[in-house]
Amino acid sequence: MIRFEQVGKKYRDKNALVSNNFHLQRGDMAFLTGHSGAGKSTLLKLIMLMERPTSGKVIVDREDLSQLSRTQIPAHRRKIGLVFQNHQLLMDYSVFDNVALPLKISGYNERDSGRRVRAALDKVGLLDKEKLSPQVLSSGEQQRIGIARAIVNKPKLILADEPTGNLDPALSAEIMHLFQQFNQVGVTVLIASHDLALIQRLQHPVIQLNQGRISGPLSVMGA
Amino acid sequence: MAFFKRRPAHNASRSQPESPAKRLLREHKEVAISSWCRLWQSPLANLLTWLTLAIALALPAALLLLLSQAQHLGKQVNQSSHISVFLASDVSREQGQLITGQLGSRPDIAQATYISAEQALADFKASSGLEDILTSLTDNPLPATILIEPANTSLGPKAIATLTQQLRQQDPIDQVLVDMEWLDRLQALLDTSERFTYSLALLLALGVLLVVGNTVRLQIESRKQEILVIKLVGGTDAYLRRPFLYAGLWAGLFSALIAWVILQLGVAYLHPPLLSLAQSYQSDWQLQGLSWMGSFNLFVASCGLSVLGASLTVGRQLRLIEPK
Repeated sequence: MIRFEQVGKKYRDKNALVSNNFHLQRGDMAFLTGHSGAGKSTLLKLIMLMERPTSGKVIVDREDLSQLSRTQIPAHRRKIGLVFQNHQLLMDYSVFDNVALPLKISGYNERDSGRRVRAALDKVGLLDKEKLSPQVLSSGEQQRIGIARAIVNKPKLILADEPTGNLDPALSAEIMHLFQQFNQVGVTVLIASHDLALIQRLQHPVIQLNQGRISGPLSVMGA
Repeated sequence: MAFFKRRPAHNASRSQPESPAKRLLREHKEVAISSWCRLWQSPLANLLTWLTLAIALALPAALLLLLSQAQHLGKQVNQSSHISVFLASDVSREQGQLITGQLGSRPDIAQATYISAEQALADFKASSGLEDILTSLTDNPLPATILIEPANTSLGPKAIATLTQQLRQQDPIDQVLVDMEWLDRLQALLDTSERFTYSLALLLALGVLLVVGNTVRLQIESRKQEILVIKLVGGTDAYLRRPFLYAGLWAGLFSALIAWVILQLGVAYLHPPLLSLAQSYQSDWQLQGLSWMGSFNLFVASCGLSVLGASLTVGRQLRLIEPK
């Protein structure tokens, strides 16, 4: 699903990523770890085409991203469900409208969109909050709304950048359990996280980044 | 987990397939309505912008309106221009009438009217109010006159000049007067006003573009977070542009409406004094308000400029907002 071939990324003179190779198979779930500044975010940005690599090739869903022009980026992003650490919800939208945003962009009509949004909200257990503003929700609930928005389009790939960064351990475990559920039905999931204790319990492959380098082949930590 | 199950062919989860054209139409309708609703979230700020635009539109529109009517009036004056032919003092009444008859039969003269010296004096007495002084004169100082109305004045000042030249060369004719200079001046004045109005309209159109552009830039700035998120979940540029273009359209529509009201009020205000001015010249000229066509043009120009201003800004501004 995701393949990096000799990928490097330089910001001015600083190397953020240095010639990295890895391959995440379709239907896999993996963690991306490393201390802050190790290049986790850069790696996710390359997959989202928020950045272009300085060298090498990034292939997502059999598509070489270097071949995509600026105008093709939106279609590429619509294939990926993205979950942020700070959830990136729009506070002047209702919960429902936040989750419906990817569907609206894809041109769904109100009826189909409503059905899908409610299914996604049901999935994260917040169906009764659709009319509220995200502002009145707890941070755990806000993160779940963010997840509902990421899955509402039924993407084949979910990327999450520190999705549990602001949550307590119980909530974090709950969120991770949601991602595992998505993975069980065939969705490829890549989660950037530095919550090593949690990662170890979950028994999924780990991509470890160290100063812009993947410090070893995919491994299952603690296995 | 049932949620992620992809339904088989034809995407049965959608109620019914929608044609791309229908979908685009629905999306446009949705954006038009939502950007309309957004207008009323900050009505005062919008009203001020519309007023600014309306003034920028009403000024050149008013000048164009006045200009077109002045040109119309100028044409009328031109067509009613007479040539006064003064006969030499030793020409008798019979001779004068004979010449008048000859002139009247020329193809380039529509009408020639003989005014005897006595009649000219009587007319002058009546219109000048100098009756006492004129009565005390022993001799009539006024010559006999033939008033000539040229045919085909639509041929312009040149034809009149040629006719005048030919008349001057005729023998018993002492002097030929035609107020060509005055007509030339009027024409030059109208041409100058026309150019001035067009330049002003061009400058103010540029002003409209800048005002709309700046308003849209501020709107984009205030919705930066929303734009970032929409870009991240895969919103296309066209999708992002649309609400701002509609905001431009609404601004154009409302400012045209305000400009139209300003113009009609202005015409109503100017009408009475202009009417009495025209009447003092025995003219039935009246200041007309905007016609249906003029109103239509005003709305098209306003909406066109506003949407253009919005689209010139929105593309550039949206490129500046990229998720980092």
